[in-house]
Amino acid sequence: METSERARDRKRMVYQVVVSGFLVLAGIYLIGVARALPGPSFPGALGPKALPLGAFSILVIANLWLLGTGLAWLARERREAMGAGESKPAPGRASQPEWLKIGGVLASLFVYAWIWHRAGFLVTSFLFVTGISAFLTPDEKRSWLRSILLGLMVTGAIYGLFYGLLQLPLPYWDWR
Amino acid sequence: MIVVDLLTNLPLLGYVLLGTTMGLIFGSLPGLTATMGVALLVPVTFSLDATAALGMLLGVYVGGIAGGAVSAILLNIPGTPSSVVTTLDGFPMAQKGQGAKALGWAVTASFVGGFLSWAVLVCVAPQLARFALSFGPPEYAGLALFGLTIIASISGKSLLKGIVAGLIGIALSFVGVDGITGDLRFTFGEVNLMSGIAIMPALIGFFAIPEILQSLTAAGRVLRPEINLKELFPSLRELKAALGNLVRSSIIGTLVGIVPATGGNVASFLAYDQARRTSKDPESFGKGNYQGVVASEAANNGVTGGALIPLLTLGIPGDSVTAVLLGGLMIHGLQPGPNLFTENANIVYGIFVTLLVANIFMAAIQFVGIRGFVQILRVPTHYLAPVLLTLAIVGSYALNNSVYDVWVMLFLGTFGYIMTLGGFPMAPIVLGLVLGPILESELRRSLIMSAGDWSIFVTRPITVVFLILSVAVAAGPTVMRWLRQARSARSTPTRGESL
Repeated sequence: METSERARDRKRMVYQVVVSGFLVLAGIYLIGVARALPGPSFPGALGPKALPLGAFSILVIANLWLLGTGLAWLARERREAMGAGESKPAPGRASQPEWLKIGGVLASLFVYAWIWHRAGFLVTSFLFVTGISAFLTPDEKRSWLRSILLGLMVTGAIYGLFYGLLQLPLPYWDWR
Repeated sequence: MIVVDLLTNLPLLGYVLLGTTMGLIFGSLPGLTATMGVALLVPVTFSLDATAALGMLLGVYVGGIAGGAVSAILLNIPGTPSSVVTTLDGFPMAQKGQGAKALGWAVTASFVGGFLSWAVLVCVAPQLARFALSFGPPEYAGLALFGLTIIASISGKSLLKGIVAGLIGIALSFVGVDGITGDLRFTFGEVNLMSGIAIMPALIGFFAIPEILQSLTAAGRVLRPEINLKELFPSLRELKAALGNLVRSSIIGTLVGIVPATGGNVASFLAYDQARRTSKDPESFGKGNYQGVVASEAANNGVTGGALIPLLTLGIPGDSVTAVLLGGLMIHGLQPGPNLFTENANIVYGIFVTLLVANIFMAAIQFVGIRGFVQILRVPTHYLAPVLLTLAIVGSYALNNSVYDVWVMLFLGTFGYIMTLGGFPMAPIVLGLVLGPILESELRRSLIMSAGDWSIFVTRPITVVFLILSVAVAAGPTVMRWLRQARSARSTPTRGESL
């Protein structure tokens, strides 16, 4: 129990460091971009760069703090783990299949969005729903027939609602 | 007599029922908002008489705002921007097997909020319309600043992470053409960014994508509880306990609705903050306290009646939906303003009656439908996830028919997922995105008005009230802690005294 909590905390800290590090770099870059914006049109007024400069400065300072505390926590945790005789810190990463699953879904989502407006809504959505459903179903429960039926039903229902009922245009297959 | 005629007009009631049902569908699907629903149905109402047309559109409005709670509670994906706050306690309730209870409370609070704001609209609309006129740029800036202090209430375990999330929302709001000077900011040469980051793709990205991806992990999967339908209707004891919150949040919603250019999202954040601060158990907020759902839903539906007050009495829309409704009124040859009440009294009565009927239909349809809605919690993740992901894509696209919005949603969603793994809350991002532009533009307008004199913020009573409230909310907890420590230090006898 203690180990799993520690692993969860460690994982959270690792991601805190990643996010804060990214935001520090992004914030510094955006301060540079904001500085190039024009100033106020007359004395006393605030120009387009005033609030961005203020907001990005606070963003950088806050994330430097989070980055520092995160790195200090990870270093302390590492020392404690070494002191307790563990050859390496408690595992902080999710198991490989979980990563594969999330990575696979995210990658398919980006591919789906890329193909969507080129190949049209109907074909791509059917393939996406069917494929993701089959990919996520545990091996012992996987049924291609069910996934295909789900793909047909979901694609048909969304198309009927958005295009048929609400008259909202959805991408169609552009043959040209 | 007019009222009886309206209430017995079956075709009219049918149109209101149809509009409310459509609104609930719009509200519960991420990407489809009440504004879009009203805009899409305005052409459908061309052939109807003015009362039936407005009744149908008001049904969409009421249903659209209330329907957002369904996906917010059951899936942690707000159907509309105004139901973001409902996720904070609604989803934890669903995780604890209280999904039906949360939905029951959402419907009850939506009805009470809608009903009280309707009563205010009917009784004191002209008097309150003057309140809307007293809001100038400094007052808006004060309101936005006060709204941003709510980050403290919705940050969860780490205030600093909440502030960072709020700043990300504010930073996203900087993108696009500067509203005052017309300069391009942070568009990096990309034409699609000139109109800024649309709120709906950002909302779907930050809420839907992290939630769906989390549900694929072992930790996400274990949260599929049994559903207790016996708790659907609030008990008398709970109703009594929630009465103050219901009334306060409805009033907040109505007042925010009256102020033009605000809306349900601002109202629900303000009401939630007040509910938490006045609660005897503030720690339980964010962990599945039904009072959080009550505050959010009473406030966002309270906006419906409030937003109609400046629309009908002054011709000024109170929020984005009433801006579209204004178009609907004008298409039917009606000019909102003080003369509407004298020249078209029948239409005004029609609006009053159909708004009330729409609220009753909204509650009835939802109470009947909840038994079906909650079954969504029983659908296995491997079937639910692909459906929700497809809806996320279609919902992001549908708002502006823009593939670019889909990409924005995906990139923000991926970043949001990494942020949630690092323990960053998502709700402050939306707060920053909504209030950031109001704060910036109104602050700058105020200083243009005063020729750079900052004393404009301390010479106008409403602004001063907002500033005092902001300071009290931001510094209050720290001051109270110091006071408590000082009091306990004084009351604890020193070693010398005890001897």
